[in-house]
Amino acid sequence: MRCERAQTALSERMDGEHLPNQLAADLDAHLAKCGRCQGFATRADRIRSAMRLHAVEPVPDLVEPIMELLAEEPAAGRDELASRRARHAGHDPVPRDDDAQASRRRAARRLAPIAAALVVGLIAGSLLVGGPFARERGAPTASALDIPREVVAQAAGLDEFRARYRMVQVDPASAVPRREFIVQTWLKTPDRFRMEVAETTDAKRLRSSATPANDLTYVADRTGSLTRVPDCTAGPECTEQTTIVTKRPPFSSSSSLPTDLVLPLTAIGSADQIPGLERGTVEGREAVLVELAFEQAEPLFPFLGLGDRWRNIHGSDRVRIWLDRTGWFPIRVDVFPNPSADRRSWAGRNSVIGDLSGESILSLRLLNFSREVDDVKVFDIDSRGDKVSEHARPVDVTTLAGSLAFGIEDVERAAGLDTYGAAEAPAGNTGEGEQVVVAYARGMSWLKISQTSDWNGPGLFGGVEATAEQVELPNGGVGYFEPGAQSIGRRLAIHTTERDFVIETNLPRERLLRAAQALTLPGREIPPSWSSAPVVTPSEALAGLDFDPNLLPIPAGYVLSAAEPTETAGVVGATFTYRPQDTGVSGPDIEVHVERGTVPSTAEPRTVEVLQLRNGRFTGSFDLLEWNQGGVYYSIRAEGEGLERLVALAMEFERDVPG
Amino acid sequence: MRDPDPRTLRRARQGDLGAFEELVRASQADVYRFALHLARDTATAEDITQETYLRAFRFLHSFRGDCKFSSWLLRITRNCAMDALRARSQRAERDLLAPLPGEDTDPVARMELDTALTAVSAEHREPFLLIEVYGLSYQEAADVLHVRVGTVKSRMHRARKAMCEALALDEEDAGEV
Repeated sequence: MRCERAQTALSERMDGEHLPNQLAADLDAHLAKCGRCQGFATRADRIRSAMRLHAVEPVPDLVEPIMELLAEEPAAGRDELASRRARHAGHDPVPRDDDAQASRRRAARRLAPIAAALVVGLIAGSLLVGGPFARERGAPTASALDIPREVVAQAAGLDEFRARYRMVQVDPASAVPRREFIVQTWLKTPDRFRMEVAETTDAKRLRSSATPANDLTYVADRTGSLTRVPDCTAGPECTEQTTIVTKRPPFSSSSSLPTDLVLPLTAIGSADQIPGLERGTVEGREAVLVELAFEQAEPLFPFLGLGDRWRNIHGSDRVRIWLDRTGWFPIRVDVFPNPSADRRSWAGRNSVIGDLSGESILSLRLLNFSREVDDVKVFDIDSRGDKVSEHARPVDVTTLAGSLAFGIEDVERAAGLDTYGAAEAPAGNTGEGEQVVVAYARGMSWLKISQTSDWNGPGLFGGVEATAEQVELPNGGVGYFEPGAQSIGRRLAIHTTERDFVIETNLPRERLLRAAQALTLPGREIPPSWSSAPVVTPSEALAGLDFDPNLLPIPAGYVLSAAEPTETAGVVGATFTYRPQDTGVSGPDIEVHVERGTVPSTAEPRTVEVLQLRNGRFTGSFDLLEWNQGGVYYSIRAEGEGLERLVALAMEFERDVPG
Repeated sequence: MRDPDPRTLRRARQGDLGAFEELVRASQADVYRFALHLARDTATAEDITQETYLRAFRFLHSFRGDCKFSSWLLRITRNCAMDALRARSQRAERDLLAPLPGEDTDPVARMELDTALTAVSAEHREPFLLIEVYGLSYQEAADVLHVRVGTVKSRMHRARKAMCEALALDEEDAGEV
């Protein structure tokens, strides 16, 4: 265990969080022999005592003035309308008087308009019933159009594109409930891109509520990128913060191109199937309507990842997208709150108030577009800003032929792309070793192969984890596949006796595997020392146990990618990792651990009782659910998943599942 | 900060002022202290405390018990504090660095704390206060600050790390004298 990890774990334990058994054991072992971390522990304790001593200060008794203030209020939950009308008519709910409390009351009144606005939102929120989805579910589908395939096919033919959208964000609880923006994108394939968001909300309204305008810029060209966002960390007066990445290798995942507003390749092209709900004419163009959960459609809103001043949107909120029937660019996009109980409870937790299920909370309308970018100066990156270098050096592809373990043209043929360029760059984050990257592109589709002879683990080259799904390659041998995410393409890592490779692409899985045929060396299994624990087949892991646990049947869209036998202080167990298969299912890895024993108790458990599971415990900060059954300790962990989902998974456990 | 009896909470939600008064009595010290930490002056902290209960009273029927009542109340406190600070166009950073008013219990502890606190940015100090002083869990602090649990976890750890490093430097300096 490294010091950084040990100190994080120590910090979590100090704060009363429950550590998984294995981690707690590793931490104690590390602490016993590391002076630096012992020092950290001692100092952290001293700071804690100092803080707690300091917290004891005299506090004024405010019960009486508060209750006097409330006596003037209408009863909660019954009379807001009356109160609103009274306010509207100019009535002052707080009577004036000259007693000692007057100044306090005035102070409270200064803040009152904000509270009043919230009340209005709240009344609107209570109307949240039904919605368009319940009504329109039965609508005839557009046809058997294979929309993902159409989108992928379109990507190969696209050269240039420019689009301008009007965007409206509605957030009833906010000081500025309706905000307007112009969103513009420019693309020149394969890798020049610009996105600009300019807030057009009335400047006076923004100023009066001390809301900074959300103006954003993102530019990428062949070897660099620029991100400019408002920086409001120093107080209400915001400045601009500019970050420039230089010397980036081709299609670097640290600054990927958020081009889904040009063509929704990430949100839609990677899915197995997305049914069209309806056909129609929108803004004078033939269009197809599709509907996705926000979680899946998120790449359509890349600007939400820039700056942190956007409203909250729930992963299950419904996104309706009208796509152009020939160009497959979005013409109209609307996000509707999902009228589910989960969403309502999330809204309560996050102060999201007043959303109406039939009303769009974020909408984009295409104003105009063009298939030409007339001024390539928009892709220029000006040089003022904080610079981060990725240390890539461009090289001439023709000089590389002898040193590569794949035919450059074989990859072109297998992937259906053209050679785009090559670079040399450091192999890992630590700066040791070198890699050669050869990139291919056609239109918006891209693929790159990185090769190194300096890789010694742990894990696979290219950041692919040892628990990734093992796949058989078309020309024999094995590779390790990891599905894509918002900024990272699908990856296939291949370990051979002489070199290590990673192939990354935004093409579908089948075409990635086909490209691997171009390698002249067969893929091998990685040495056991490269994975933190030996990875075995699920049945091998089960055979090593002296008990017969129940296990999780493979959830839809998932694969059981790895099993690891474990041993902590003589107790044997096993950990099973389930990963999303590459079918457009977005979801976290699910880790299931079993061993003989019971859920350990901690001094001050901050846990939620789980009624359906005896002796169950949920630890929110780890997304961890633990329980006992028949003398066996079970845990299930899935990052970002709440209690309900984990309990639902736990209820699925059966005997003899993976085999 | 202890959570109130659910029966009191229910009565308060139905508009029972007596029940609400019980809630105020039980929680006002924590609300006031948190407000004081954010506003750094006692008059503003009192205003924020009053405004907090006014809003809590108006919105109590929307509280569904998805997070703890105390987390919910502290989140309102924080919102009120932000509104108050914004309204007066104060620079939060400068104010947060000013010394805390009030009696000092232990001058040595106080000095250590000052050394350590100056090493932490305002953004990281809030989760630190909630967790160290109020003993909130990560989930509860996330509920109050309206951020993800992962964010609280990493801010908390970074704050603690920065403070420990500042303290370590201080110890070295003291050693050299």
